[in-house]
Amino acid sequence: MDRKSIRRTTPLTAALALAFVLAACSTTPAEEDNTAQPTDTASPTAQDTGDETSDSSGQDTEATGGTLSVVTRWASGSPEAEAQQRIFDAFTAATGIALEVTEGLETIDDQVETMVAGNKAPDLVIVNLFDKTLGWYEARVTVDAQPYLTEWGLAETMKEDALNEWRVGGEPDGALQGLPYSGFSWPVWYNTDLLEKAGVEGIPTTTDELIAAAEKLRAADIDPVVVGGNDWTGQKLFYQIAQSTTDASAMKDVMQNGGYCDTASVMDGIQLFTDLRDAGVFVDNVAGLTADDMYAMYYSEQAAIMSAGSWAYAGAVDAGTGVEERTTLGGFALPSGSVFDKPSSLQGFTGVGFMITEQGAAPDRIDLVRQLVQAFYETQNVGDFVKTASILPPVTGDFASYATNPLLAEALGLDSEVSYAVMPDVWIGSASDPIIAVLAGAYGSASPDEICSGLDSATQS
Amino acid sequence: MSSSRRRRGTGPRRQPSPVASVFSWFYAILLAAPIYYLLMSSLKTNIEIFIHPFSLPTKWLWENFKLAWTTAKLGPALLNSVLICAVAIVVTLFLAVPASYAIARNDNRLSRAISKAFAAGFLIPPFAALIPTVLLAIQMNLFMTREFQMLYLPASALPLSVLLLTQFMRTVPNELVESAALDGAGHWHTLTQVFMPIARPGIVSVTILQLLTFWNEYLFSLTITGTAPDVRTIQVAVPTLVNDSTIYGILAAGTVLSLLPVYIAYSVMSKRMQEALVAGAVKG
Repeated sequence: MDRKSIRRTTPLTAALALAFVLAACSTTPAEEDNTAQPTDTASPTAQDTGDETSDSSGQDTEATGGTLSVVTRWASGSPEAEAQQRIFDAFTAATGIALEVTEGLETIDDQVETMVAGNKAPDLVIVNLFDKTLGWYEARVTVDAQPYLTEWGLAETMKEDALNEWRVGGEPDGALQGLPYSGFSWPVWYNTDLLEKAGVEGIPTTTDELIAAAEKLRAADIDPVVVGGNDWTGQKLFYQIAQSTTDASAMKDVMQNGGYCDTASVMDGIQLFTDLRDAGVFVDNVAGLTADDMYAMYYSEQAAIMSAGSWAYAGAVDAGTGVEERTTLGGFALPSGSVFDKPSSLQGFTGVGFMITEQGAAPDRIDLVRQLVQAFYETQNVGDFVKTASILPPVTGDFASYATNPLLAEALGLDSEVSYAVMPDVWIGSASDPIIAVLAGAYGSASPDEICSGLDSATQS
Repeated sequence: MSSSRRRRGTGPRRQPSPVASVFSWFYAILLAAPIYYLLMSSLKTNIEIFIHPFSLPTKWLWENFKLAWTTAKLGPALLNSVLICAVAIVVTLFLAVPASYAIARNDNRLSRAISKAFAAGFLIPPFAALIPTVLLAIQMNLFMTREFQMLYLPASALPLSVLLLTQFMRTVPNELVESAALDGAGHWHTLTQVFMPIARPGIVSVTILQLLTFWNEYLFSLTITGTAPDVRTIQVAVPTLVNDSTIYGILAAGTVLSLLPVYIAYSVMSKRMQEALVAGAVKG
């Protein structure tokens, strides 16, 4: 072929090369395998078969049990993801069902909604109940999990409290939006060494004692209470304090429908919050801090007190400063005349659960979903999550032997020492983000009136 | 050459003013500070990052890079990014070069209208195009695939590419075009033998510019291509290192790894661009 003909064929060659590349990298394994039939747990293992599908790690594996599409909140790198991966691997090996796992990022709710819109809905979403996910059942993205609870043999062991938190409106007869899995405790952490160093005797149980402790800590050049004033951790602590003077039912109503300014007991709670803030109980510039700043300041023993959930127990040990040995878990100090009789704390089961999509509930898919969900609830797998990620199990059983983390072991005995405030997530719903913005101002210099009107606007927007 | 220019060329070199030096160094430090922060963070623990952000690590955690690579499965993501960028660049040039040639060679109402149509592409903010683009991907049955991104990126890059290349191609002297025509050259020959060599600096510039844009694209990659390990790009893979207990050292290491290929490509291609500029000057 002469140079002239080579030049003439160049565009054609380029076009063919492009077509080849586009054809070669076609990747739609979900579509190829969406016709998978139900398979029981006795189906052949991966080693017995020759078909290839994509497994949870994105590598080729042999499997014949079909493919299950899962979107998970537990992204690689987290302790939960480690335990999750062990279950995925064992599940695929035992059932031959390949898992097509998509890691949800911070915007997992948007990701799933886009997938649904694109007719690529996953079968199962492992996600926490918050903000947009609270509307998925009504929007028919997910289905009522109540029938499966009994059918799959989970009703006997599942804690009623955990189930109620996942029901629409928190009502016992409401539809079950998903199956709860990852519960959490959310105590207040006290570094007793730092308190002692500053001359604080014992853990403060009243707000007057807390203010006095903060003064002593500041005098000893130790930061007092640290929290992410600019994120969800600050939001939870605010509600915990604001509930000190309000009963649970009134607080739920206000969180759901607004009326902060018109409810005297809630206003007392907001006033208490600003009093603590103005007395210097929180660290300087708290309005600009996030959860990560909070962990770093507490783990490095720069701050003496923080409010953090059980997911941080593993992180405290991993930090390597030995802070877990000097930490005592407890509740937040109360004002006189509080509705609580013991320092307040939070706990809940809205952490992460299994939401079954309409696609997953289809007759030819639901059995695949059942097998995976049942695998997660097996005692040794729940125990693995307790051990690895310090979750509070939503099922009854003796998991004490799995609680090897000293902080988790201590937290399991907290029930007798604290009163539990209402977790706001389910009640504030999709107003969560606007409320965080309002509360960043509350941790700054906003007055009680500004805070309550901001919260009312955010709730009704 | 004017006398003033000769004086600048042959006279003693002027010393830069001390104020200019100070500002230059300040600017250089300003640019280097984030890179230093990123590199140091990639070798630290969370506590060190938050408590002593600009200090050197007390213990250099090189394993953060290995952990980032394995945890976020950066290998496949890197290959996906390279594949998408390579195909998108080829498609962009394949479409933009002939389009620019046609516009540059035809100075009439139609070509001006087409040129303005390309310029109008700048008026559409990418975010506004997101939902229609998602719907298009769904309609084409290319949602959550790399192939759609390979087609979308060139489409989004065409306005700037065509306008830039048109300007370069308009610098081609008419005498050369006429000479080629007398030799019997058709459009293909005129484009490849006359226009492209002279416009090579422009082609390289467009390649670098669009490569950086394609590599760093996040919004459409996340929304349309998705986060599945087998199709996601490096820009989508790195944020998977963010979770409720993020280890920022590993996240920073992942970010460094995502920057390296494009840094290397830029270093190599910027040299080529300088060479092309010189070659173009001689030929012109």
